[in-house]
Amino acid sequence: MTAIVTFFGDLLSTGVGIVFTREIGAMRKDRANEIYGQGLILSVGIGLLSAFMIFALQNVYFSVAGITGDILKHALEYYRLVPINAFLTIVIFYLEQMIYSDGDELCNNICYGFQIGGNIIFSVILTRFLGMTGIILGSVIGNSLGILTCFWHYFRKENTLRFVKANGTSPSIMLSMLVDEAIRRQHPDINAPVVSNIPISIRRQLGCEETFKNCSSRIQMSISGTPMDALPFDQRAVQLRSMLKQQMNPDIIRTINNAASQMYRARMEQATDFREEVSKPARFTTQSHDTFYLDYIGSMHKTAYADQMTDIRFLCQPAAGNTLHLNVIEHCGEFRVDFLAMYEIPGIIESLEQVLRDHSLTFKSIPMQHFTLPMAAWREDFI
Amino acid sequence: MKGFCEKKFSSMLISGTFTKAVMYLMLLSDSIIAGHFIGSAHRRN
Repeated sequence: MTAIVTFFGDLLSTGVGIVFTREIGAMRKDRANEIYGQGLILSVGIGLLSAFMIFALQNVYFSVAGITGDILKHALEYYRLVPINAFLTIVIFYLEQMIYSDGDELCNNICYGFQIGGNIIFSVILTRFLGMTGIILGSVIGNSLGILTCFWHYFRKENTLRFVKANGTSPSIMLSMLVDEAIRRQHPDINAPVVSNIPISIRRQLGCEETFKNCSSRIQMSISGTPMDALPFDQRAVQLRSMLKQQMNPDIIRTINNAASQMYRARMEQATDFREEVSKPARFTTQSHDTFYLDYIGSMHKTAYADQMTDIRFLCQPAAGNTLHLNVIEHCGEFRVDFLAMYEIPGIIESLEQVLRDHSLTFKSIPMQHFTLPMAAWREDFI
Repeated sequence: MKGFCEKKFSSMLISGTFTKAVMYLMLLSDSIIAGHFIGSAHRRN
């Protein structure tokens, strides 16, 4: 019977664990989540199947093994709850393997403590009252405590993007809204929309998820200065997110890319070296006012070792003129926002700090640094 | 200061070992308790 549980438990948890970790490593978080969900459904299904198998086969097993008399009586008492225990064991096998893949061994170890400790303590106590059934009930309670401990892992993860989730939006929209507020405080007499230039990946829309080539594009969105200003902050956040999602429609993106430019197709089809890459028109040039660029790099290092990294920075040449450029990286549950500009920006930073205080968000400022990018110098030299 | 391999290694070793061993340890404790229970029940008889 143990063999049935071990076989099905290992079959699922080991396989899904490997596939899940591969997808995380390839930065395909959505696919990884899909696999996680499918694995969970499968583990519940296989758990039920093996519970049924044990239930159906136990009498055959006893008769083949020649178990009779007192031992059979004790065994039948014990086997009363074995199917339930088998189900719980397979589910907890899966959950523990996935938490292990997520790099939370502390949660795993506590889980094992509850499983083994809970089993021993409850078995010893319950055997006095229930006999053999008490022993297996102890195992059921131990496994249930273990499953409850597994859920703690998900609550621990939950706190990373709480403010963004509470407002039902995505990080790039939320940061755009906060920067928009800061710009409006700096320029109270502003009478035009404040436009955020939000980066998007169009790999999926162009049907080339696996490419390593640059398939980023941008969507310009008016964050304020539109009739939506009348909505409360949180509703506006939700609306802006759904507008962004609508723009991500693959038909729209393909039409634009087919009609307006051959650039993306060329990027997909031609092998380019760095010289070709830089001499090619790299982007559409747009004339706009009051625009700021927001580069949301996302969480690049969500691995077991993320907490070992003290800092991640992504620097690039800021947009020319009076355009503000923000690079945003999510790391260890915090956002690091680098403000890049070719002009003096202390005013806007102070305003943003005030906006963050008003929304009760904690932050830490790092002193302003002036720098030149070695890449820019090297690139000029190259051409 | 411990490097990340050293820090992660021991907790991964413990977790990895228990991942495979936990079911057998639970069965072992069940068997010991069952043996004790059956043994004492027979002695009483």
